[in-house]
Amino acid sequence: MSQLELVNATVRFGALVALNGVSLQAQGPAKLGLIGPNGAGKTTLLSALTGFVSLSEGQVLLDGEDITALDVQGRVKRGVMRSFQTARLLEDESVRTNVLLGCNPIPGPGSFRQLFGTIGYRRWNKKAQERADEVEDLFGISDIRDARVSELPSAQRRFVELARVLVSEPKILLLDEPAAGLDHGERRQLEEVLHRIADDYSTLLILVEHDVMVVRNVCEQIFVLAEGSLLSQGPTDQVLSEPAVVDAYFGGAAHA
Amino acid sequence: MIRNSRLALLFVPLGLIVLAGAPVMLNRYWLFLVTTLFAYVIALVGLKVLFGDAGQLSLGQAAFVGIGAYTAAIVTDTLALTLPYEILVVALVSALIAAVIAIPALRVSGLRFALVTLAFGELFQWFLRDSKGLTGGEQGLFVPPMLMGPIPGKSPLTLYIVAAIGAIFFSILAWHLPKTKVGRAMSAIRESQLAAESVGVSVWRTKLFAFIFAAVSAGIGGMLLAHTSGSISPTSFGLFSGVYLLVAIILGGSRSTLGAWIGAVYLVIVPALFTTVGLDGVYVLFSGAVLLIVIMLFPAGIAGVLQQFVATRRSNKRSKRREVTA
Repeated sequence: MSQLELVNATVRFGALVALNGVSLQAQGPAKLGLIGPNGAGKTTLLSALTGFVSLSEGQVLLDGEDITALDVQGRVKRGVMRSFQTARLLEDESVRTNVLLGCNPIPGPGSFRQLFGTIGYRRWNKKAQERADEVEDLFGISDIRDARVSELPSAQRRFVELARVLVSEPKILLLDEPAAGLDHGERRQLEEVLHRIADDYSTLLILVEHDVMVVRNVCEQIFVLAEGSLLSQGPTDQVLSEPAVVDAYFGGAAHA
Repeated sequence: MIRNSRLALLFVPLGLIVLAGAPVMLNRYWLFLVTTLFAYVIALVGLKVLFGDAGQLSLGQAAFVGIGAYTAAIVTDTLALTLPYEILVVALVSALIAAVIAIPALRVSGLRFALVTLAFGELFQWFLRDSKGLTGGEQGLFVPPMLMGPIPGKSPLTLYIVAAIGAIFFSILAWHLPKTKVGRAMSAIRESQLAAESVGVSVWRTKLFAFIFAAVSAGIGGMLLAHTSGSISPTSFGLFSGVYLLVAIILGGSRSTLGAWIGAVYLVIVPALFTTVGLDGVYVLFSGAVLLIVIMLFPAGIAGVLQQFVATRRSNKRSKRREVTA
């Protein structure tokens, strides 16, 4: 069980108010969606939860504990991880190296013991390799594990990044537009993997996504953000049919 | 990794044969040069980790070579420490000074980091020239031979063997490092600080580790240089030496341990070859031209070119095999 909560959160960038007193509570394991039109503050909200952006006002609570003051690293240590809209990968390195980088939060021997390859570190490394095997299988990238990342098509790069955030088995996983740049078939594959992440790893999955189809197919509950405020929340189908949501999300065109 | 191990398979046995044969075949002068080469390999391996792996451009590596050299000279002279203790003290002093410098230096990155390391180098020069009682000022110091009990520390062969062991030891560490957790954290810092943070890498601690590793390897390299040459003075560890070390690792290939060896050859052996054939003046021209060509055409350095060559041949072979089976 994990619970991530935002209490009355406001984020300002100079004069711009990106988030305006948003409160929401996410409880997992579950698959939650966060949708809204461009510039609604979705990515800001995700960054605020993961520590990449600090709140101007308000609090972030993890399992009831105030983590507002914790930096990114501190939150990663507690199992809160994110992915990025454009995959941030080690371009020169192999798929496997990129996935292993994701093992960083798994506690293990210190740098000098790693340098001299002590038995403790070897044990850690073996475990890391096994976990990497497992997530590479899950994403269907096992056969390209030695390929250099810069040579991969965008869908596979996306899966490499997701494998990297998943390999340390975080309690809470926030994904920023994971379906961006994927074709129809790849989106279906992504949906299937997201279901398995939430179910097999009992993760609280929070999806920021533009593609309503993906959200509908994956998320049980959604939050709708518009102009920095929470417009609506609840079961996916119910919320998606609310006139205010339709209006905010699809604009006047939906009514026409 | 795979590309590297193929190349290592080629170079390691070859290298070992050369290493064992060298003392028999080389005269005193060349044995001295090769020993110097090993010392530079150690210093460059540290720069490979700091600059090549972690992406931190340091102009202060020569100062750390100097710290090792002066520490070695002082502790063998005044405390008469035997080699194992000397190594320990040199490593500790280098690491401690690095940790202190790291407090201001690692707060910044990129060009500003380079400038802080440059300032440190200048400060060190000033200290060397000003503290006559300890460092001998401009004149520098004579360096007593290594103290190794019954083994003659002054003999060129002993120096050669100790330096070779050191160079191999540090090379193995640097070769192994990128495969470890902290090695991957370094790559992440170099390529994308955001990615590094998102997987919980402590940027400060990882940089500190790279900085200390570089300082210790520079210190040990400097210690060996001091014993090999027998005397040291401030000019050997100034800004120019720092720039030369950086040039050498970029030329050799900053992402590969082999690059440190190639860089050391460029620093030590190539100028000596020019001197041997009586073309001292041409060396500067030659090294400038080579540097220009490598930077323009081969950003991964000479080691990168070799690795690319091996990789291409391998993939050619593979595709040929595929044609045969098809």
